[in-house]
Amino acid sequence: MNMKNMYKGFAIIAAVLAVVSCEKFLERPTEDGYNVDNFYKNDLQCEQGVNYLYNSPWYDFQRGFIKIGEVMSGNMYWGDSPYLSFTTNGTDVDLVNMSYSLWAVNGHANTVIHNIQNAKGPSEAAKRKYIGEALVWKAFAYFFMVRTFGAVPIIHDNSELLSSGGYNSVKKVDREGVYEYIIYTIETAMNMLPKQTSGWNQRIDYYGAEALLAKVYLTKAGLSGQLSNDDLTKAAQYAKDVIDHSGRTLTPVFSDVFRLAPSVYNATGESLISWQWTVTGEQWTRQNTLQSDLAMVGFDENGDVWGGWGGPSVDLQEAFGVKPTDDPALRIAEKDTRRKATMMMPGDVYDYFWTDKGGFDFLRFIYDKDDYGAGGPGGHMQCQTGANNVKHLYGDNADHKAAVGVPAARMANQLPTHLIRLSDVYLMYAEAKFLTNGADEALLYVNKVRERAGADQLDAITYDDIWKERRLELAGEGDRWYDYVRRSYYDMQYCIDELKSQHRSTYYGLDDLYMGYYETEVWNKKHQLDNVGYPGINVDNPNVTASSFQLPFPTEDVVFNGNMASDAVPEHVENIREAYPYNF
Amino acid sequence: MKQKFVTFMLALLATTALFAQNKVTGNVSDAQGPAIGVSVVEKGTNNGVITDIDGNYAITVKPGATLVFSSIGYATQEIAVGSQKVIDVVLSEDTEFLDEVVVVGYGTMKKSDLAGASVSMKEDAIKGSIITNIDQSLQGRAAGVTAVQTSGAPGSSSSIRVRGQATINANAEPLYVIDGVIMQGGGNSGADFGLGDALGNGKVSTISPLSTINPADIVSMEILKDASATAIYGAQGANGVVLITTKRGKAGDAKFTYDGLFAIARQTKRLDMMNLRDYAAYYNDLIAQGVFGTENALYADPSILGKGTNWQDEIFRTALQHQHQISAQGGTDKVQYYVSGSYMNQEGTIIGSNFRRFSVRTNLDAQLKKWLKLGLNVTYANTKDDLKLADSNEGLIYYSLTTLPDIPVYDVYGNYSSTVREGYTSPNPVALAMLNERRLDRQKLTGNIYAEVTPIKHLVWRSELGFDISGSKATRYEPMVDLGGWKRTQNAMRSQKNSNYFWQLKNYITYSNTFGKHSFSAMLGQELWESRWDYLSGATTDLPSDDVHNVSLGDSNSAKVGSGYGSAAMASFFTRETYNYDDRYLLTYTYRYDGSSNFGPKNRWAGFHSFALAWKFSNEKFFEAAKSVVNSGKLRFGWGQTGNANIGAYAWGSALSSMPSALGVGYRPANIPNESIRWEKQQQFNVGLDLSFLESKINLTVDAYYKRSDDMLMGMQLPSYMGTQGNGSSALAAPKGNYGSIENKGFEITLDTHPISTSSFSWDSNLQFSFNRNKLLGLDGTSNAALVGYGQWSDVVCVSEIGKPLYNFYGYVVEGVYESYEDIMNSPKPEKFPADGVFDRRNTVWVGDIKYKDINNDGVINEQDRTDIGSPFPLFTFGWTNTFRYKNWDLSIFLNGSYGNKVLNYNALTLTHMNSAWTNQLRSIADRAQLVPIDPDKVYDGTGNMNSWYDDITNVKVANPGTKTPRPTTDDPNDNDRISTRYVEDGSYLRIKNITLGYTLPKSLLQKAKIENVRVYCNIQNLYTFTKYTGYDPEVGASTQDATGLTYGVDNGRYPSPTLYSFGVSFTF
Repeated sequence: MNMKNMYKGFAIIAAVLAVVSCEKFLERPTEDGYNVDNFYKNDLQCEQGVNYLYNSPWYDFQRGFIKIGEVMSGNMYWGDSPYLSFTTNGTDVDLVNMSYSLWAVNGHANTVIHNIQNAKGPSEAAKRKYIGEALVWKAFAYFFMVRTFGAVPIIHDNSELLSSGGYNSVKKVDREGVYEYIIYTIETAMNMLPKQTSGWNQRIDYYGAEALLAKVYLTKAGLSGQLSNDDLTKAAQYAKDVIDHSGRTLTPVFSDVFRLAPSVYNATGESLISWQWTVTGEQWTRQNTLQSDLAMVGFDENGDVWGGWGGPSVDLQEAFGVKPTDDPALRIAEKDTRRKATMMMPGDVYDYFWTDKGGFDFLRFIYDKDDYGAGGPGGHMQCQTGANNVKHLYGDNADHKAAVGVPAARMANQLPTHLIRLSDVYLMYAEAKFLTNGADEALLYVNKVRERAGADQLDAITYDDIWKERRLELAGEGDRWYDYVRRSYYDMQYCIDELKSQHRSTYYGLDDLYMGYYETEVWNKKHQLDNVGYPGINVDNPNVTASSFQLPFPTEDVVFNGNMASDAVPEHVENIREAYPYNF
Repeated sequence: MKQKFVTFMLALLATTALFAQNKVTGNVSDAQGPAIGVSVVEKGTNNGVITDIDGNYAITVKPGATLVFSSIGYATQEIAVGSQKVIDVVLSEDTEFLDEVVVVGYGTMKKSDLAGASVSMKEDAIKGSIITNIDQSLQGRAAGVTAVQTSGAPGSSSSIRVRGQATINANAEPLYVIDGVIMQGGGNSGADFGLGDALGNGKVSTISPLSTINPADIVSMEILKDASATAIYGAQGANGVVLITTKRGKAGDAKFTYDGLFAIARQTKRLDMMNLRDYAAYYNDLIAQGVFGTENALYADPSILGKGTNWQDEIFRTALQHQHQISAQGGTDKVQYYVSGSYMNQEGTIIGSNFRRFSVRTNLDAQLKKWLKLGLNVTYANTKDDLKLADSNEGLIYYSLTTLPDIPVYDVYGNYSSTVREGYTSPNPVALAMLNERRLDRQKLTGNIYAEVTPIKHLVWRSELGFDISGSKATRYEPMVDLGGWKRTQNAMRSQKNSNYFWQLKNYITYSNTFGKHSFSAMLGQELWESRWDYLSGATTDLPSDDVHNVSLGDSNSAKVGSGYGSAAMASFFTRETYNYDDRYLLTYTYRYDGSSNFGPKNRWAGFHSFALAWKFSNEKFFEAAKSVVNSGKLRFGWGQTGNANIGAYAWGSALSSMPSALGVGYRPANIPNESIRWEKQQQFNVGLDLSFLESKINLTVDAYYKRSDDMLMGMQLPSYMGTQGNGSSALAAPKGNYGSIENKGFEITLDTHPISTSSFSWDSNLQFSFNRNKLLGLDGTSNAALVGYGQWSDVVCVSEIGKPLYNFYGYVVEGVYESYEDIMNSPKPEKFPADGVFDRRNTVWVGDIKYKDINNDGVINEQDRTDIGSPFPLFTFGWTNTFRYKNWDLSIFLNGSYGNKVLNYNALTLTHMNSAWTNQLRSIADRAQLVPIDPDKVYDGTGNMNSWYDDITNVKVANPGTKTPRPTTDDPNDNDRISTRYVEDGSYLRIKNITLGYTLPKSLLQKAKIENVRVYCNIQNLYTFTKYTGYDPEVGASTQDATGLTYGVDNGRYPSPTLYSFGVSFTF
């Protein structure tokens, strides 16, 4: 082609392109994915639009969930954590991330509800079902917030607040208002959710919402400083409805509740509301990361585990009636299966972890440092409370693959995190009944929980029994601190005293004792026990005060909105349901 | 100019038939020796010749003729022949020549005719620095341009700001246009290339799009600064425009040039960390004060210990660099060519980092007909980056500083060692650098084809088709690792390929003519571009071994695929009119009308106007008298509008991104939509004065400007309760929209002098100062809105408040430390003041803690006492270049600096926190608050939790009360390491940036070898920096760690810029 022809070619191209409609040329919505306008067109898309509320926005709450729920409550030891020493401040990264996460849940739920409500195409039934699920998650986020931070603002509709321009001047709403908003939200959801009574799946249904409602009423009961009989009655009534009509039963084997495969952990519908993590895909926040923070180095193959230095506290061990200085042989007679399913101690072997290597042997892993335990703690135990965590652990890649077909990846596993289980509902019911003169019912249901766990039946019951039973049943599940929070509403001094009297610190000398036991298979052969002690320094008798039961709302928002300052007076809203109506 | 030359060449060819009467011969030379290709023309005729390779000529002229000697770059000389037979001439360089023609975007203009503000950088200045990327050469060389290197890594990017930060957008970088083609970046962050967060979470990374360009191919750069100059780029011009022109061939015999360079780079500075002995003593001291629990027998006697591992020495190395370029240029009067090929290999001063580039370029120009010119530019480049995460709390710098000196690099078996203590892993920075692979391979083919048609006189139609086709492959490989204390038994790999296709088509017609004293030009044009991108990625885990890095070898059950694609487009129409009356009054008007696919149908199009007016008062009659002193003077005034559309595609809607869950696939709205999003608009006023004194020996340019950006495009800044903060893949992104206004005002001075210029010695000096102030004028929403920027994750370090400059550091003001119990009781109450009056050194405020200032005087120290604690922006920046030439020697000294900026020494936060026994600390913590008993004899029996004097607040005082470093405490209840004035340092500096000494071999010597030119030189870059800053390097740009992109000047372990010693040689033959 000579130059002149080439030039002619140019001229033609130029002319053609100049004529092409510019508007058409410039109209470019997202090409490789859906957008709000072409999605939510059918029932399946509504379901897919809600699925991520079960995992992603909750991701950054995982650390706060453990640190507040377990470390602060004295169930778990965690080195220099400010949650152990009650020195958490408003810039603490875990607290800030927790707050981000909970608000993200609310923001996403509001947006998805708005999108589905305005969708044309899906059936009305599907729209109601999925809006209902989103509402429960929203309520749950607020439930965590009000119990953690106290008064918080109510963000009812993000886009409306944005367009009104008032987003930097909202005020915190007092706790009464927030509780009322939570109840209203759950009640609205219950009107929309189906009642599933068989074929358990992992989604929230009417009874999941009702179980949450029972918990909200039980929590709120003492808010005024005195227990409200009305609230307790409602809590008992809702809990009983779940127990009687949901068709769900307790999973026969306690440890099965915490396994990976849905057919195992949810065979009887015990889990009512859970975070549903996955390893599929690459998107960060899709996955469970707790094993990294809670297991010993080398527990899995992905080089992503560092949590062995913390573990179940001495205080929790004592609640289970065990001590790090006990001869493991004594535990042969141990009846309560929950201890082993919560904490690993000398002598413990788990057949459900490391299935490809014949099970997981706690001491062998620590002390057989060149072979079985290669890459592990390397011959020295890490957590000086003498125990390590079990709940939230999935095992190694083979365990993961056996249960769900795919291996875990770096900081990513699929183990669901249960937020409300049926045994929790039993215990809620027991507590609400006990406090409203229903000790017999209370005894019955506490014993049902104990029966499944293998623990001895109680003959009579006290409030302290229920209080302790909750701890044993739910230890490690991020809930204990909130028991203190609700009790502190009406019985502050008890909570302060109990937290101050806990054994939150570590032992010395256990490593030699356990190493000797591993090597000789004889307990205390060389009298290592003589060199074991519990000094109780550092974190015992922490500085717990009334203000400890409300964590500081992250301080960064003060830059935007002075009403978020720690000393700002919250607003009291007379009629929450009128101020923040749902129109479904 | 080119046309003149072509006309001349044509004229020359026409002079074939002549009758000879008088033969004149001679030699033409310049300061360096024989001058080749000088035209020797008999005045007023077409009779002429050019000098040969020795500078000789022979011409036959009529009697009484006058010979005109002219050559580009030299002052033209006229000599009457008379009776002379031999006329030798020494040409002197024309100092005005270099300023003569400048590229202005869609055309060229005489520099003296410019009414707008722009600044030129010629080849010489680019060559004066040893640079990998052209943007690095902008530092200190161009008034009004601040260039801050984001990192000292090889091939890394700079943060370039033309006249201050005028937008909140992460992309505040200027528009680069290379030979008329808009430079395509391919992304600013590691995530854009598929490296995920391997280089940090920030919106910017150290990867530089400009590193694919070979600086040696560049002949000049024009930086358009004011809006009257940039408005021709309309919607893309708001951040300034850098026009890059590459070398082109000149008619004549082929000339070959070889440029080679060899350099050694090293880090000359080390932070003063504790060595093993210091650390042991520190540890023991803290045991004695009851801060750490367990004694360590190994540390019992520090004097018997060695110095331990110096981790800084381990990760820094002396790095080698070499580069070679060979080029050929020449051609006939009709066709000229320039061809070059280059290779460079630059090691980073941090082990494992490396940058390689291979590039070739061909530029062709052909005058096919008298009315038709065609041209072609093509360049291909291939780069390979071995990247390392240097900064951040997971970066190599951080680990090299915090890892304790008692850990060896290798264990006794020669493997990397590491240690885990109480859950704190020291991940062996050397292993980290050497084991994890992060590679980026890029390829880029760019260029254009143009045709220039002159159908009638004075009218030129130019058509240009430009393209930029690029691809990249990013690989992350995490091998199986056994570090003793830490093990990874499953490897993982991820690989991503990106492709980008960009084409642009432009047509513009220029008419220019002169009628008497009126000369004018009018240009009308159209442009269209489209950019398409796509990527495909794969990831697997559990490859059988680490020998072969191929994603497909991993466990297929773990395989993950990613894919995406999209496009953007713009359509534009533009015009420019210039008018010149009697070379006294100059007027320019431009208008551009742009449509961008980034906006919704409602707001897709926008128009941008500009005017400029210049008055060359030195050409006025009344000025004649002053001309002996001021030989030239010009006053300029300009106003213009520009825009910005850099928000990414489809911000007006809400895209859904997939997010799997255990319930199946899920889709989440990525953001809150904003249909009414529209152009960011900027207006700028500019007043400038150009003065030349004493026959241009002294040239002064002063510009003052005011620019204001409105409708600023940004993500809305919302409080966290709106659900828009936190992890990008879980939060709901805030809507993007037009939310703010910023103003920048400032002035620039360039003083260019030639104090001495004789044939054997010359001294040229160029001094420039840039002053800029910016201010955030407003943000949509309420008056207390602000922009918040973060340090590592979610700690607020910068706040941009309305009415203040952007990115001010934000935190508490340190007053000192609490000296005693009484001091605490008499001071405003900090957050951890015990309500019940029971002090506890582990969880309440204590003696030796930092006393923060009660800014709002409410008697309480809380979050409301945070305030503005310094600006990362300088009061002014400056650069001073001095070039000396003595015979064949040349010496150039370039100094640059910055004054008045603050740096947040974010690294120091960990290096002085003293709250863990497992992070090494700076030696400066020796001045920490020393707690001592007031009454050493007081006896404690354990009541009230008091076992020793250090548990009893009434019996503790600070021995060195003047200190500003707190007590060590593992619990740190008072939060002594919160962001405060403790970490804000003066970042002013004066740097000896470059010293170059060169020697050009005498031509007489080279002629025999048929070599035209040989120059050898050595250069030292970053020789020394005068600064008070205590970190590595006060030059800290945009943060590579802040996902919001709203921080600046935060030193979170920035890869320091090395000192470079180089030796180079250049041959032309």
